[in-house]
Amino acid sequence: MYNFLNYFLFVYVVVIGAIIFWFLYNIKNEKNYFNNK
Amino acid sequence: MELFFSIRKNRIFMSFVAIIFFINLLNIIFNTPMIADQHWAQKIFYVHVPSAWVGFLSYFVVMISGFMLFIKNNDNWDNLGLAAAEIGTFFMGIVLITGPIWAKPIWGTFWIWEPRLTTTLILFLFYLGYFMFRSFGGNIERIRRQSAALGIIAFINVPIIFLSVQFWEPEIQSHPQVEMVSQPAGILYPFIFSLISFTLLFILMLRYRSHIIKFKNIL
Repeated sequence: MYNFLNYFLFVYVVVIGAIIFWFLYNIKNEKNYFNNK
Repeated sequence: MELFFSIRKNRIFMSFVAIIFFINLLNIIFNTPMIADQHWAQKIFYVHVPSAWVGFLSYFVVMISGFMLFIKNNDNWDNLGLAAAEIGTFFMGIVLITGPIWAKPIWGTFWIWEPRLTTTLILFLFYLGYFMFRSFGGNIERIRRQSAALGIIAFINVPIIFLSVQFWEPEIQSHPQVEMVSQPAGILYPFIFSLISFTLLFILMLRYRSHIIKFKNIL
């Protein structure tokens, strides 16, 4: 009924995805500032 | 100034956090007990509660750096406060997404206007207001001081959320009122491990983000 695919995998993708996105966004941001220095 | 990850110490810390986080996820998936009537939905708890904890910790840092800005009048405190506010809002966003994913199978609905959920949403909106206020522009010195004051005032909501399960009458409460200390060891230890790994992630993110904001201000 409350299986892994429907519930936990969804949370897993949202949380890990958000954290990876945050890091990629900041790495890009930092490189931009670095190149414009 | 150097890039954050060109410093060896930071790269090592980053790898350490990534490994701990990976172990944490495996631990949640394979090593925690299934709760009879909730099954996989209950495991969201190991992600949801540590995110909330880190969000509150982050807003606590905003409040402390707000006070320190008034006392020391040093811009570094403002950088730290802004970085912490951003990360706090990031984690509050995760709490507000993972909560409804759990609530749908258990309550049958994504959202109930219940004290804890409502106060958490208010906190999230408070900080969206904080960012709007900062982006309106104006005298930079004034913005720094006023947003520090805003950060201190907004923190009042955190103890209200924390106590919301006792604050309001039990009839209108739906949020689980879990006493963590009375949990069996099988749930408590993976939870504490998850809490530690989220806190380490928070420390890494805070250092990285305040480094970037400092960088941006130098330019």
